[in-house]
Amino acid sequence: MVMEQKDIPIIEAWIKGKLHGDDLLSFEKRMTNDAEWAEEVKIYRYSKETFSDKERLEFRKKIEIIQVDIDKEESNKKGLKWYFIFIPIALLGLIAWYWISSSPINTPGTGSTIEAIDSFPEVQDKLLLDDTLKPNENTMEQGISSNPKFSDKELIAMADSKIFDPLQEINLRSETEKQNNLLNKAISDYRQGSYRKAIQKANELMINDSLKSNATLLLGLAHFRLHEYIEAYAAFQQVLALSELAPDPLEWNILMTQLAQKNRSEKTFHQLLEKILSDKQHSYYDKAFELKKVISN
Amino acid sequence: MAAKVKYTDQEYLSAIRSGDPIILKSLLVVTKKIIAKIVYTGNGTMEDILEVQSSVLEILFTLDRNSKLDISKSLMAYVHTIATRYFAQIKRKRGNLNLIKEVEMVQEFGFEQELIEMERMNFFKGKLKLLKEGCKDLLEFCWSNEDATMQDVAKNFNWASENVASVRKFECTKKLIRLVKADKLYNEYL
Repeated sequence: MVMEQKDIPIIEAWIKGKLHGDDLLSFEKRMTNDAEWAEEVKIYRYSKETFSDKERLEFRKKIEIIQVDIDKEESNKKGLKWYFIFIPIALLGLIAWYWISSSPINTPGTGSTIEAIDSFPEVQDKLLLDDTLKPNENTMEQGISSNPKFSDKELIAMADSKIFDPLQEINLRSETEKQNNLLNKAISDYRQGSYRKAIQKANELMINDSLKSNATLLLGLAHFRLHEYIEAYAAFQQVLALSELAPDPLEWNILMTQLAQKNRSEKTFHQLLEKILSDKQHSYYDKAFELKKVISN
Repeated sequence: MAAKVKYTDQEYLSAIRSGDPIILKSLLVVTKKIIAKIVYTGNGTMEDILEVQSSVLEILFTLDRNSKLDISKSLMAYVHTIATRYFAQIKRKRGNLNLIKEVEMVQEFGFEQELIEMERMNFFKGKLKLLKEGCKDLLEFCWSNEDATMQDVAKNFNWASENVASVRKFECTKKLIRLVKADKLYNEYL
């Protein structure tokens, strides 16, 4: 039998140890003989106990408040850090663009363009990622695909298995929310392998500032699964710049886009890998170490 | 700036008891890296890190209160072991049945009971959060104010009588029970 309103004061008394004599005997007998009722009593008891320990609840609350403070501080610091990084990069980019487009040595066939962009690593990286602007392969550094040990397919499979992918784990809360929330729908599409649909929905979500980081991460992962590594790289970089999500897994994913990409540059790949390996506290240090061992053996 | 300074285990324990926000903040900064590594290695999320971190510290709080902390072991060893075990449980409940090797270490640290209690509390807290605000506030008020009578409840919520309060409390309790029972894992917490 299920719990009734009149049972509550008796259950409360039992929890407080204030049930005695025949009342206690009869309560215990019912607990033994009526499984459904006993189950509801236990649910009531544990729910109540969860909120009875004020000292413990206050401690937890305090911790959660400090966690929010730390997050805010970290976001502000990252924001400031990116501000100082992006402005010089943007300026360098502008200068490079101006210099390349106006320079008399920028003539097809002379080979001088490659030499010129060598002085601008950021521009070089951009070019390396852009198929339409791919420089002459003979002048490029050889990528890790030149290592006969791994084919492109093997490297893609390696990156596929190592990518940080929280979308497979996120709990979609209620059924209603699942149906109404576009982000949840996009995640569902992603999980079902409908990556194009997920990308379409993620793009629609971009107008919502509060969802931008998650939508862009989704976008990056969907492009990654479609082997569109240039788009995936750009998306992960964008999430990193938004500074709302933890940077370590994003840096790892950026490295994975390089690992999986055809015509990758060994230089860019190793720069990203060494960046992770330079920080022993990096969440992906062990994985990066393992990866380095695998590809250099 | 003070939050960045590392303190001794003893100072961290004192802060857990006293609630000193500066030392607690330092403890959170220090433990976040340890926990992030565990969570990200297991493909967890940022939300998981925060959840695991607050639960680990809550377990430390109860272990200390129950005089069960072994001071010969470092606090960070406790953090690492509890976090690994707790995150393995989260993963297991999400359908990933591969428990992590460190599970055996739990015996040595002796926090199994606190961990089970923590999981149960988080489960019931999670279910209460799914109730509508009115119900959530009512049950929280009733259960966190041990001595409150139905009359006090009625007064606090501006209801006409204690009878109204009793009926509402019962209705909300039933809703909570339904939510708990709708979870396929609820039997694990009873």
